[in-house]
Amino acid sequence: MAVLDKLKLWGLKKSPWVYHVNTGACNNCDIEVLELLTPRFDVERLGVLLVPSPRHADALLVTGICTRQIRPRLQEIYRQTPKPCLVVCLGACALSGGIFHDAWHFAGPVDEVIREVDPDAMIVYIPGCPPKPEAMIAGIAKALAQL
Amino acid sequence: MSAGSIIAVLLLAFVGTPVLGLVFKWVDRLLTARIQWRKGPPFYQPFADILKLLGKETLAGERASVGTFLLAPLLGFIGITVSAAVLWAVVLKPDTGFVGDLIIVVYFLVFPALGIILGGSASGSPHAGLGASREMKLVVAYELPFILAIAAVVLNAAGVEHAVPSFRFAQIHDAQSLSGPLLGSVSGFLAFLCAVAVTQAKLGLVPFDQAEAETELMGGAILEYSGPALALIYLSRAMLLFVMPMFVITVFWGGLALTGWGLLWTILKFVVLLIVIVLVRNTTARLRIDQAMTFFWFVVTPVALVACAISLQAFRGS
Amino acid sequence: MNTDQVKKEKNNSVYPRLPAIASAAAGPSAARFKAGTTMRTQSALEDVIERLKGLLGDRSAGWKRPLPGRVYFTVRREDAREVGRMIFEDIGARFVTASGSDLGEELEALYHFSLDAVGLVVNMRVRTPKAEATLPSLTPVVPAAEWIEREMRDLVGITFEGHPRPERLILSDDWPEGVYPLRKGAADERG
Repeated sequence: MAVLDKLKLWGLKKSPWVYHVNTGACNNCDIEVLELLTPRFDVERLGVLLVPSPRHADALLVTGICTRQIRPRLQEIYRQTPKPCLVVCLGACALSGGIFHDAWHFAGPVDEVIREVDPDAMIVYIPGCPPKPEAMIAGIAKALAQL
Repeated sequence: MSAGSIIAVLLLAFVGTPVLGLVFKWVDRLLTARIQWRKGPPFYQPFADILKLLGKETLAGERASVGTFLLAPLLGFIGITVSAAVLWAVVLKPDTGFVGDLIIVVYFLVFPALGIILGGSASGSPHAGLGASREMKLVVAYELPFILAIAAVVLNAAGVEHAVPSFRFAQIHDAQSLSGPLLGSVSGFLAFLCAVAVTQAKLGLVPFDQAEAETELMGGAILEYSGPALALIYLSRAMLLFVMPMFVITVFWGGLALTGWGLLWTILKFVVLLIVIVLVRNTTARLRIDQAMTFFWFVVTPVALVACAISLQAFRGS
Repeated sequence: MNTDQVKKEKNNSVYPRLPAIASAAAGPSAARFKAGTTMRTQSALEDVIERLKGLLGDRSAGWKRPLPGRVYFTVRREDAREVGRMIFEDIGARFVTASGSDLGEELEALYHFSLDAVGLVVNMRVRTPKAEATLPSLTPVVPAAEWIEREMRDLVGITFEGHPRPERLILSDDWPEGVYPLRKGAADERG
C-alpha cells in the first residue's frame, strides 16, 4: 500500500540507526563520532542510535583506510546489513585513502569496496580529517533528506 | 462479561497497550537524555523506529533454525498481550476473573524472557547463544522472589477479607478497596520492593541487562534480528515497560482508576514507578551474571521470605 | 610562615637527595634505580652514561650523543643479546620499542631502552648484511620484544634467531611471502 510505504520511508528518515565500522583508522574519526553522542551535539534528537549489531543498522559509519585484511570483512558486514541502508564514508581516509593513498596496505577507497558487492549502494561522503561533528550531522541530514 | 466490554478489553490490549507502551518508551528515552544533560528524541521517535523496522528486510544467519528464530518474538508478544488483556479486564470490571488468574498473568509474563531465550538459541550465533544462556540464568534467579513477593500480598489480602487465599485479582482489588494499598503494611512494602527489583530484571534494563549486553555481546540474544522480527521485539519491550508497572500497581499499590481524581493519582503512580526504573537504569553499572544471581537469591529472596513470614503470621493470627 | 614551610617541604620531596651511585667496579646490581624516584640532574645523567660505557666496554662502538638525553651505539651481531640483557637487567632500563630500517646494503634493528629515573634513552644498533638478514632475537632476555620483532620480520624481512613465535603479525593473511613493504624499492603489491 502506498500509504504504508510512505510511512515506512518517513520512519527511515526519522530514525537512522548507525553501526560504526573502523576499517583501520587512526581513531581520530572514531573519537569525533563519539562526540556526536555527547550532550553538545546530541544526535539522538535526529533519532540516531548507535546499535551494537550490523543487523540492526540503517547506516554503516565507515572510518579508516580500508586495509587489505579488512576488505572482505567490510563487504561481509555490508551484506549483513538489511537493506535499505546507507554507507557513510567518514573522513579523508575512507574517501580516497587520505595521506595513506600510496601506502602498501591500502586496498581501495571504501566506495569501490562496497560497489564491488552492490553496484547500487547508497554512499554518503563526508570529507575531513577528521570531519567536524557539525559536518557529520549535516552530511547525515542531507543524505536522509534525499532518500 | 458483555460483548462491549470484551471488545473494549481486546482493543485496549492489542491497540492501546502498544501505543501506551511506545509513549512510555519515549518517556524513558527522554528522561535518560535529560539525566545526561541532552535534549532527547521527539515524541514520535519510538513510532518512527517501529515503522522503519517494518520496512527493512529480514535476514537470518546460515546456521539459524529459521522457523524458531522468527516465531520466538511472537511468543513474547503473545505473552504480553494476554497479560495486558487480563489486567485491563481487571481494571474495567474488577469482579470478573477466576480463581488463579493472577497465576495466569505471572505465567504469561515469563513468555517474553522465553522468547528471548528461544530466539537467541535459534540464532545460530555464539554471541546470541551466550545472551540466551544469561537470560536463562536471570529467569532462574528472579522468578522465585517474584512469586514469594506476590504470595506475601495475597496472604495479606486474604487476611483483610478473612477468606481463603485465592490467587485472584478480584480478592486483591476488594482487599485494597477495604483497607488501602497492600504496600501499606510492613510485609506489603517489603514485597513491593522485591517486585520493583524483579521488574528491573524482567524489563532487561541495567543493572540486569546481561542478556542484551550492548558493549559486551553486540546485542546478545537479539543480535541476529532485523526487520519486522526486530520491530516485534522492540514493541514487546515497550509494551512490557507499560505492563509490568501496571501489574505492580494493580497488585501492590491499589490498582488503576480511570475516572476523576483516581485517574490523576494513577498517572502519578505510573510516573513514580517509571522514574524509579529510569533512574536506576541510568545510575548503575551492569552486574556480572553471577553477581545478579547472587543478588536475587541471597538478597531479594530473603527479603521476600521475611515478608511472607510476616504475612503468614498475621494471617494465622486473624 | 606556615605556607612557606609547607612549600619548601613539597619542593624537597620531589627531588630527593641522591643516593651514592656505585661505580662499575662495585658490581652490576649495585645501583638499580628505583621506579618512581626522580633524579634528573646533569650529574646523575653523566654518571649513568659513564657507567654504561664502562659496563659495555669494547662490545659497543660508535657512541653518539645528539641530545643530552639520548645515546646511540652500535654492537656486533654476536653481542646483541648479551648487551641487551645488560641494559635491561643490570642497568635496569625499560624496553620501549625497536625500529627496523633498510640502509641499502644492510638491514638495521635499533632497540630503544629508557632510563626514566634520569631521563636517558639508550639506543642500541645492530646491523646485518641484506644477503643474510638474520639477527639474534632479544625476546629470551626481554620478553616485551616479541611482537616488535615479529613486526620487523614482516615489514623489513629480518629473521630473528631464537624467537619463540616467528609468525606473521601485521601483514594481511593473503600477503605474499618474501615481499617486505618497508624495504627500499619494494614492489607495490596493492591489488
